[in-house]
Amino acid sequence: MAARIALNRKSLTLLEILVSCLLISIAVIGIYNTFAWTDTMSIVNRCQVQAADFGKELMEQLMLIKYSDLDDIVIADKDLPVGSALKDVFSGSRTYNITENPGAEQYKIITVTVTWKEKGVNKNIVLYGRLNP
Amino acid sequence: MLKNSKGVGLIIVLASILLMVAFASVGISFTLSNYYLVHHIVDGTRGFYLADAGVKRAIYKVKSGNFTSETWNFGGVDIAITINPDGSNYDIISVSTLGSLNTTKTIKATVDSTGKLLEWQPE
Repeated sequence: MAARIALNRKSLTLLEILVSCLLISIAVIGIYNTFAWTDTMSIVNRCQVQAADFGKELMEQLMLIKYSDLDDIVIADKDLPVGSALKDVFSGSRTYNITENPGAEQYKIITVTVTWKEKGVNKNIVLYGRLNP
Repeated sequence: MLKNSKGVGLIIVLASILLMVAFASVGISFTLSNYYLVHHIVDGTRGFYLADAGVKRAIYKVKSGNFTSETWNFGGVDIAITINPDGSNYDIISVSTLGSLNTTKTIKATVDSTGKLLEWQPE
């Protein structure tokens, strides 16, 4: 009788270990995915903030230019700075475009676009500005 | 004593899982708050230049003698422009609202009747 109880206790311990392993595995897989997601999101967030910052930088340069000079101006360092993560790691680039409003109201539309690649997917941020004569 | 120790392993495992879930919850919470913050920063940057464009639109209208408030679409975003007479000057309020989180950016300005900018205040 005593031997049977002892046997039962051993099998219970084994069952406990198996259930524990199963539960821990499920939990670890879930938590690993959560951490992988937070890691991806931190990269996404970093890229977005950098892109907005770089877009703002160029927009500010363009906004300071006289209205009459806007057509002829060439911004030498319009691309993203070398050494920035957005350019080096995420193949980022920055462009701008200046167009005259086609309507009767005279003003120029400044468009600054920052593009980059996240896991092979193209992402961009576009800023629009207006300059009066 | 032996009878009481039955199931202790399971309790330890469950407690460990609970601890891991707590850590993960903190991670998710940080990530989500970061995500919203970043969206506000990006939409705020875009919205700032759009609201500024709204002020410039209002200046053009004041110069043209048109003082009506309006909703003006620029860069695919609706900008609410309000022009209020204030003595010989005009108070302008330009509000852009954009993004999934409806981030708003407001710029208040004061111009004289010739459209000269006297005050410009982003909020």
